[in-house]
Amino acid sequence: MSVVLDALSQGYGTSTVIDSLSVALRPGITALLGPNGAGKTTLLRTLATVMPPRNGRIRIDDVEISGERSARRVRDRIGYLPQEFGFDPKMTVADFVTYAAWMRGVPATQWRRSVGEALEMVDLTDRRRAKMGSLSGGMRRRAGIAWAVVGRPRLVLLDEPTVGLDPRQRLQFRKIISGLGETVVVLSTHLIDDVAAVCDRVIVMHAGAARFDGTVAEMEALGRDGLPGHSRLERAYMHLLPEGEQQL
Amino acid sequence: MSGLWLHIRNSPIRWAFPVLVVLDVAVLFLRNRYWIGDWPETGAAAQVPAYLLGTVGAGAAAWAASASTRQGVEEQLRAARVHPARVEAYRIAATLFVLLVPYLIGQAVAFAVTARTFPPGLHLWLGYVALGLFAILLAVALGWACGRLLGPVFSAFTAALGFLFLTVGLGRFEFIVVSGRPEVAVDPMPMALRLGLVVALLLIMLWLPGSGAPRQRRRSVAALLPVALSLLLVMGATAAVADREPPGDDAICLDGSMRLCIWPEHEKYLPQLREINARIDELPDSFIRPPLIIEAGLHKKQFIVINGKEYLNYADDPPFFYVLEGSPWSYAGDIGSAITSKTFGFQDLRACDWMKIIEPDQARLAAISKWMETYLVGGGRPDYHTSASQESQQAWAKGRAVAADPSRANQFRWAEGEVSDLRGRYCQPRN
Repeated sequence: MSVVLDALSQGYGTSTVIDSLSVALRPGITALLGPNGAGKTTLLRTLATVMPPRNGRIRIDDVEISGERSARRVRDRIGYLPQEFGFDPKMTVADFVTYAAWMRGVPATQWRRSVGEALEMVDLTDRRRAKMGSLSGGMRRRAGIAWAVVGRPRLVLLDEPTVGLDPRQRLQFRKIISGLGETVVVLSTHLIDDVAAVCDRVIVMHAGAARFDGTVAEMEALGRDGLPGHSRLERAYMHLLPEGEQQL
Repeated sequence: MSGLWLHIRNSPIRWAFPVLVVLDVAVLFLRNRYWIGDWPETGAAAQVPAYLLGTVGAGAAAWAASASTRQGVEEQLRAARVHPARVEAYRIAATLFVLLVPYLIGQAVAFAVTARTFPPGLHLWLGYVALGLFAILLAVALGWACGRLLGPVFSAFTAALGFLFLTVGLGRFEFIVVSGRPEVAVDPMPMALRLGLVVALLLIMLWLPGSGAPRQRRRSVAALLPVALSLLLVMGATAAVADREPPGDDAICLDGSMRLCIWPEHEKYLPQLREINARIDELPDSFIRPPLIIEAGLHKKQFIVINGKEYLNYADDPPFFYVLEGSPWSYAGDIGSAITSKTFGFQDLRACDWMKIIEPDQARLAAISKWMETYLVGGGRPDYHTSASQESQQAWAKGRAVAADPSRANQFRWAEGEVSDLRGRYCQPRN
């Protein structure tokens, strides 16, 4: 799986949210870090082919995404979970995930196996007949991850997947994500602990540009004493922000 | 499990399915049962619940259409590999399943009940099936457009009210009929046109996205309008239900002192009509029978042109009767009127000199008419109510009281006396 962004610009109306971003994504877990409004969600939406690029290019495997037609050619390879994902509260967990499989173009003959795998991965097999509306926030998030991974897409995009999870649920989430193997996983988060625990690579975004792109260890190395933060990674993050935003 | 079944199982209106099946079958059997054994009436009776299903359906379709917005799955849908039109097609199909299957179950139950005697005219049943189908498709199209264009808040209410307005306010467009008389039938061409246009409307709905894509939305709305207007135009310019060609030699006739003919589809009424014919034979000779009486529509309608305007011309037609809602009182009343008209020498009351008619004579004639009606039915209380004047009601009560006399000789004696007294006095032509 290869995902290449080349001088990608993106925005809404007259405002520019991502400005000439070039990134190549590889198998493994990549975290998008950055303050609110940095362009993380817009980048994920663009990778999910929900928004065609305004300028520049995005290439997923051998397909250049230029519009709806080309986007649809690769969407079976993409699992996308928006931050505020929707669901029918009366739907069972199994049907919710089956619906994702249908939308992703997984053949009906493989639904049972794919849904079973996805639910097992998020440890919801015994809740497969429960209504979505009856699940706790954490279980709902796990069902959402099952939505994103059903049918084994090779590019998984998770927007703030750990928001609202308690510490135990976050540990569970890390375990699930670590099990995705050779998949290209891109997740946006504000929680640096999650990044340190599971991510291979970090992209720090600010005002639509990547201010850092490297491994967790490379980022940690940027941590400077004297900056706010409880860990080297947090201090490194603060260091990567523009000078005016480095202090609290 | 298929994609369609997944959508049906999770349709936001799935709960309505068993309710609608029960309601449909309940309306079919509780409204009346005269349709049993009569194909056009069977189709029409099982089509009546489409009015209810359509009203519920328009609201339900709007609710289902706005579900993706309400549940916040638009973003996930935008990221789907499946084409948005296909997603919409499955959602509309699931909605149609919930609304159409109860209707078709009702029609199937009605079919099975009438098929036990299998009278002639099965093709007429199909026409009414199509009429109900059209009403439900139209309701879903209307509801879906409301749900997609107005959003989730008031769309269900607006769509249900809109459908009610269409069916009641524009009733002349014949969305729903309440009976399937044999002299009329659903006209295949206008029906096919209506069905084609409503299917076209539903197909355009596939490209009505809920949110976002404003340009596509404008294009879809622009495509909807001409099709919707064409549909209204077709409905206004053509009649879904039209007069049938008379059956000619296929009409079923009973011979006696008076020949009585009915539509072949009404063969189930033959036993009652035979009894009436036998009673006509037994009437005193002072009652003059027309040589032939036919069920309405058995003779092709004749028109005359007066001052450039077309009028129906009954002058050369034999008298006719209706079989209304299977009631023997309806045809006995019409047949009795034909005999009294002939007996008293008038065909057209409009030709009477009303100034020469005195009220007591009118009351006596009314009494004879009601006696005749009750006598022909074989006695009993009528199954209809009227709001006629107190004088008329009193006259009718007198006629019915005579008919209740167990001695037929007494009844005939009274009737002959009235006839001989009134003949020549009632309805004298204008000078």
